[in-house]
Amino acid sequence: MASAGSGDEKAAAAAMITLISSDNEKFEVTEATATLSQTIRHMIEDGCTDGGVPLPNVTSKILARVIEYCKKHATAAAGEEGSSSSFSDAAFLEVDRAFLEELEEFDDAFLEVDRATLFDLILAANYLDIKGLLNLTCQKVADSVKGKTPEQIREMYNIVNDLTPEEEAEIRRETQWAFE
Amino acid sequence: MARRSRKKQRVSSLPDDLIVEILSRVPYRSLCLFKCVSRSWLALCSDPDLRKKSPQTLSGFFCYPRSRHEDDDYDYGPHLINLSGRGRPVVDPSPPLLEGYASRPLLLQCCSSLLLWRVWRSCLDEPKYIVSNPATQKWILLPPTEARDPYPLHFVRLGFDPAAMPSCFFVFMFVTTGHYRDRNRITGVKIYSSETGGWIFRQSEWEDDTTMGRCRGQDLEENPHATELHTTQDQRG
Repeated sequence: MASAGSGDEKAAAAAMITLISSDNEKFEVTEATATLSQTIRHMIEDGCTDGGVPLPNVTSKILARVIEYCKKHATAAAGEEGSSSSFSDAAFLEVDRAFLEELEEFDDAFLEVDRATLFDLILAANYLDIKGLLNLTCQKVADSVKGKTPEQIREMYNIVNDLTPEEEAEIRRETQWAFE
Repeated sequence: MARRSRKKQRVSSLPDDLIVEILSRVPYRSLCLFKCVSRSWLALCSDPDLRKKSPQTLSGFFCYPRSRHEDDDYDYGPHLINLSGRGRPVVDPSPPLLEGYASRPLLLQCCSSLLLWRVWRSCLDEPKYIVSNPATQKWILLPPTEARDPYPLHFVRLGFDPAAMPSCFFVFMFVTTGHYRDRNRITGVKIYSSETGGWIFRQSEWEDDTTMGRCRGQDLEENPHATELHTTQDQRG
């Protein structure tokens, strides 16, 4: 909602970090946004972010999405910190709930991507060590495979069955209950 | 050559540790099915690390093995009996022995696949409480409650608020008067929230004669959400 130019004191006071994608595109983000990534957090702590942080494993297309996620969730984290003192306060719980709902909606929309992008996001989340994003994206893939049969999985991912019929029969015997 | 490997499988563009990360989020039943997909999936789905990671639901029941040996001191932990009698190997539901704690934790309750335990450092100490997840083998020792109570053997129950905070559990500790005559009369409830990691105290608004029924064998039932207890008490009052 709040645009970069709206004079948010907090954002203005915060240090900015430049992230550089594999295809050399530069992204300027606040430290609060960047430090959702543990990898970048450690770099900031070690004082090696001057002149930008090169991320040779992440393309600009994916990095833009990752930053979008971090921005949203950094705002959420800041909001929580500001008002977490009174757990018993019903009004706070109400606000909190609305906030979480909004965040959930954002996450759902965020995951509306093709499979290749989703995998690239997983790789980026893992490389940048962003727990929430890794969890979100892995869960999305997990949800898409659960309940599927081995045949459907092979088809989804173009996997060649290299088990011999005997081996497959043996595994099916061992895990018979799962096929019932 | 390059074309062939590219065509092979999109999921393999993820390294094994990330595939494990994904598979740890699918139900155990699916993992068993996926062993038939291919040789590499068989290896991935059989990985013991994966089993440790995955938050599986175990269906079964707990029982304390009973032996009549002379040195038997009732200190054996509970065993989980698999309901189907087959499938996944049974896990050890006990939390680890804590350093400085003489006795094994005592299982108080099982609720929505979490377990509540009571543990004593010594017989002079207030008991402490542990909540564990037997499937992931994670556990947490709850912080001590602030005030020391005259009658420390509280009724303690696990509870959830699935609508508002599905990933959060609560521990309810019913505080009683401490008088021998009416020691079961409830004066309030302490509530631990896994989200805040702390206890809060609520004064009882129940009628004066509200007491806790001590019913044997209830401890291991799936059922008692504290909210349900609340309603039954209200109806009685």
